[in-house]
Amino acid sequence: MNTPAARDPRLRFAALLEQHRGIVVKIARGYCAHQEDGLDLIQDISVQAWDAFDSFDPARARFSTWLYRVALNVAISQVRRQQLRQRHHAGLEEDTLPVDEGAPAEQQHAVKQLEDAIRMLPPLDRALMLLHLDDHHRQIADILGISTANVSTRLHRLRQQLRARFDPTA
Amino acid sequence: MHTDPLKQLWHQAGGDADDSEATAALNSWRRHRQYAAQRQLSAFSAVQVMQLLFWLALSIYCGSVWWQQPPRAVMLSAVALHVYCVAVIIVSAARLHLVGQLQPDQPVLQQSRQLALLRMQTAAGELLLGLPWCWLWLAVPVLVAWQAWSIDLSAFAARALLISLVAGAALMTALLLLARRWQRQAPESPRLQRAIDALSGRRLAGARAELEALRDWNAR
Repeated sequence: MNTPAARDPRLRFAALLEQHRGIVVKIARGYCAHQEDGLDLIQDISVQAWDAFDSFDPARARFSTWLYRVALNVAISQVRRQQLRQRHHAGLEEDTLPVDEGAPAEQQHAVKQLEDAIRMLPPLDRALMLLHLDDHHRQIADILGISTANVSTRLHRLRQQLRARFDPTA
Repeated sequence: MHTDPLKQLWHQAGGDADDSEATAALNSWRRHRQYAAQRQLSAFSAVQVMQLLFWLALSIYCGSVWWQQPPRAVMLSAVALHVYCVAVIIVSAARLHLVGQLQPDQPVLQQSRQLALLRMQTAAGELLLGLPWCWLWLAVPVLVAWQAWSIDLSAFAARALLISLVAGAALMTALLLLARRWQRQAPESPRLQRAIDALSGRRLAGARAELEALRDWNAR
C-alpha cells in the first residue's frame, strides 16, 4: 500500500471515481431528462465528492456506498433547480445523455422508456429504484438511511407502480 | 413483467459508456477552485455570517444608545431595534447551525430532511423578521437623528412613532409565538393560510409539505 496512488489522495480519488463512473452517470440519467442538465449534475457530483473525500473511511463504508450517498444527495437537492430549468427547455427537443449507440434501435427505445418511467418517480423513490436496478440491494438501507423492512415494502410498491407505467415488451 | 428484464435493460443503458462529455464533466473536480465559488450553500453560509455580523454590530450600537438613557422615544426606539437585532441574530445562527450539520455523505433521507428544515426555517424566518420591519424601520431615523444631530424626531410625530413601535413589537411577538406552531401544522383558518401563503410566496407551505412527505416516506 505504498504506491504513489495510495499515498496521493488525488490519484486515489481519480482511480476510485473512474472505477465507479457508472454510478455517477446512471444517477445523472435517472435525475436529468436533458443532456446539459445531466452533464452539470455529473460535474457537481464529482466536485462535491472530491470536496468530501477526506471524510471517506474505507473501514466504515465501501467507496460505492459512499459515492452513492454523495451523488444522490447532490442529485436530490438539485431536483428543484432542474425543475425550474426544465421550464426553459419546454418545447425543445429532448437531448438526453447518449445511450449505447451500438445497441439496436428497439433496445435504445426501451432504455429511453425505462429512463422516462424512472424520472416520473418522486426523488427518493427514484433513488430507491436506481439502487435496486443497479443491484445494490444490501446497501440501500445504509445509503438512504431507512430500515431494511421499509426498503422491501417500498420496493414492492415501486415495482408494481413501474410495472403499470412501463412495459418493455410494448 | 418481472424486475429482472428491467435490471437487464438498465445495465444496457450505457452508464459505463466512454462518452467524452460525461468524462469531461466527471473530471470537473480537478478544477475544484473554479467551481467552489459556485456552490450555493457556501454562498448561503457567507450571507448568513455577514448578516450575523451586521446585526451583531447594530445590536451593540442600539444597546449603547438605550444604556445612555436618552429621551423616552429614542430609548424605546433603541430597545425595539435591539430586540429585533437579537431576533435576527437568533434566526441567522439557527440557519448557520443547520447548514453546518449538512454533510455531503450523510444518509440521503437525513439530508433531504435537513434541507427541507432549512427551507422551512428560512421561509419562517423571513416572514417573522420581514413583517415587523415594515413598522420598526421608523426607529432607525429616530436613532440616527439623535446620534448625529441630537434631534428627538418624536417631537414632530410622537403618535406615529409610538403606533409604529407598538405595531412592530406586537407583530413580532405574535409571529414569534405562532412561528413554531405554523412550522408543525398549517393554520386552521383558510383566510390566515391564504395570507401566509401570499406573504411567504407559498414557500412555508411548500417546505411543510416536503417535510410531511419525507416523514410519510419513512413511515410507510
